[in-house]
Amino acid sequence: LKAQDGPEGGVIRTKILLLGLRRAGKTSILNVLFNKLPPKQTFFLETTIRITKHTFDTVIPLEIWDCPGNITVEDLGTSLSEFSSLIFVIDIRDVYQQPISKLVEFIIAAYHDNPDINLEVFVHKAEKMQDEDKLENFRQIHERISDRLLDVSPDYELNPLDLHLTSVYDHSLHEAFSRVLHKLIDSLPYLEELLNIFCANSSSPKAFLFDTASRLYVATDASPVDQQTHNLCCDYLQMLNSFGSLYRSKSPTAATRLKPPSPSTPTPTASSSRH
Amino acid sequence: MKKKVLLMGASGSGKTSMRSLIFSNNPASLTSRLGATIDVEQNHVRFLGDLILNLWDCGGQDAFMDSYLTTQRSTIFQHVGVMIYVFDVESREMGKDLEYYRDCLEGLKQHSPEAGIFLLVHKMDLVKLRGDVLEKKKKDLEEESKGVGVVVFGTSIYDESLYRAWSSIVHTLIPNAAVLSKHLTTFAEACSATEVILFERTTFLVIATSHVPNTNSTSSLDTDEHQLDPTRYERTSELIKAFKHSCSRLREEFHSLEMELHEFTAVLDEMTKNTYVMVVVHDPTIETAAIKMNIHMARRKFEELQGDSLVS
Ligand SMILES: Nc1nc2c(ncn2[C@@H]2O[C@H](COP(=O)(O)OP(=O)(O)OP(=O)(O)O)[C@@H](O)[C@H]2O)c(=O)[nH]1
Ligand SMILES: Nc1nc2c(ncn2[C@@H]2O[C@H](COP(=O)(O)OP(=O)(O)O)[C@@H](O)[C@H]2O)c(=O)[nH]1
Ligand SMILES: [Mg+2]
Repeated sequence: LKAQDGPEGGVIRTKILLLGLRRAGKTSILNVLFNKLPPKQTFFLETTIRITKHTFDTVIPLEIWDCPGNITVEDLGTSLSEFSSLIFVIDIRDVYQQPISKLVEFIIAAYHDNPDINLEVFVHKAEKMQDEDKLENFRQIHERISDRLLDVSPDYELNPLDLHLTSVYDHSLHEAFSRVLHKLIDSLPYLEELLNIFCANSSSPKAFLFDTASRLYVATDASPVDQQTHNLCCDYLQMLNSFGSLYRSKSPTAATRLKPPSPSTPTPTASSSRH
Repeated sequence: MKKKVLLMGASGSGKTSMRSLIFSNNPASLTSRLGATIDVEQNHVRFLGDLILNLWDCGGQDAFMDSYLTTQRSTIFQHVGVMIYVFDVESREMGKDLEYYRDCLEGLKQHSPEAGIFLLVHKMDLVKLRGDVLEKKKKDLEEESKGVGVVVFGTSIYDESLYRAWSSIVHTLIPNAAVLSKHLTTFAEACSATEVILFERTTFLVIATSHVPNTNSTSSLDTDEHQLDPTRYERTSELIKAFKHSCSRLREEFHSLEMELHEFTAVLDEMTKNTYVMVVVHDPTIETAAIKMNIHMARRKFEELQGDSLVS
């Protein structure tokens, strides 16, 4: 998982294109995931008017392009082959033509320039709807995208499209983004196998390997992911990240004196017992 | 031993909300569903085993207040250990609030002159310049209290400030707090810990902490040397309460925590039937298992301590 050195000694970043109509929630998503913005504060974010490139160091170095809502393929100023993934954000209440046309326009262009690109759709602001309506809108959005693609050409059906229900107000966003990330990690099968072995040997029911700062999971064992368990792990990491600063030594003398003899990685652990 | 705690203040000032957060582990987001309290809601909360907090949540509508001050006067104001008076920082009827407050002070003076008095300037999350607003309110309230000793806190159910205020309040009700502190200091030294904190089990309010020695001792037991965050106690309470709540959503019971971070190790575990202890160690050579073992060995002593002093 080492970052590779780029041409000028910089790291090579995996590029992700983030698209969606204006006010769909793109900038909110990035800020909640990577800048610790409290979800309620996203209300005060300003509309993105030009392409903004954000670099984030998760387990792999990322460069995410936050685009204004009215962007076209030409406006990108670069080829779609540059990007490993395309995430399209749709407001869940927006089941109509406009966002879907935009998405289809990009899918067709991507199919031409970069057929291997991972296509991800975040059906966003999902917390706003009751479970039943939520699933109905999700299904409708999925169906309309597939229909539109089929209209253009039957081939497009071959390119798999991954849809996720997301919201900045719960951990669904973290889970969805983790799944996006998994497709970009080359060593994923080895990590998964290691976690399978870990679970078997420690009789743990479930294991996640997390990137602690972003609270995204890098890999998990083969057993299915239960959303509640995933949420608890995210809550736990949130607590752990806050704890760190509370008892961290602020005095320089004490800190140097008590430096660990060998550089050890933090190994956060927790236990809770079932009743 | 029973201690009567009066919770008073105008209707809507947030009394029932804070009670449900601290004592029932409900999230702040659900408090908007609470209805106005009718008359007095009495609750007995077992705190530290033998200490029972008898909470009187007094509905704050005018009609109730008038009756507390007249017909119910002696029932309300006698045998009070502590009165907590809650002021909504954005109250539009501060004049009336203060008038009732003065009347309650009179009632206390008459029936429980020894009672401790705490004033909470509440809903501080709604104001911008928290420091300035609190300073001003504090001055006004101290003036209104006319020489009666009062302690003022700014609080909000949306952050750790509520834990800070309530920890300080219950601290005054625990008869052996100083003794506990002394033993925690000894225990911290034995563990080579930077700090040891004792929490009440259900509320996670801080009961006692190990002292910072004033001597220039060279032992690692010197929190001053580390300049730890001054809000750490109340924020620890808040963080653990929130995590306990996450666990309960999965019907998992929170049991203990071991955190090995880059700069320190913290172990949180049961100490006695009614308390949790947290041991924070900055010395990287101390193993987590050793800390757990030390807690295990200290349990009996602390059970005894708690038993001794609370029957007195
Ligand atoms: N913004 C903010 N709102 C709060 C806070 N604490 C309580 N509230 C809200 O204030 C409202 C009234 O709270 P209650 O706890 O019912 O007030 P009360 O003092 O018990 O009122 P009575 O029972 O009528 O005397 C609720 O909608 C709470 O959600 C706070 O710290 N900040
Ligand atoms: N209810 C809800 N609102 C959201 C969510 N994510 C973002 N928003 C709101 O959507 C609005 C637009 O968000 P913004 O990130 O600026 O959209 P962008 O133009 O796509 O970058 C803001 O008011 C956000 O507070 C969500 O998950 N749920
Ligand atoms: Mg009430």
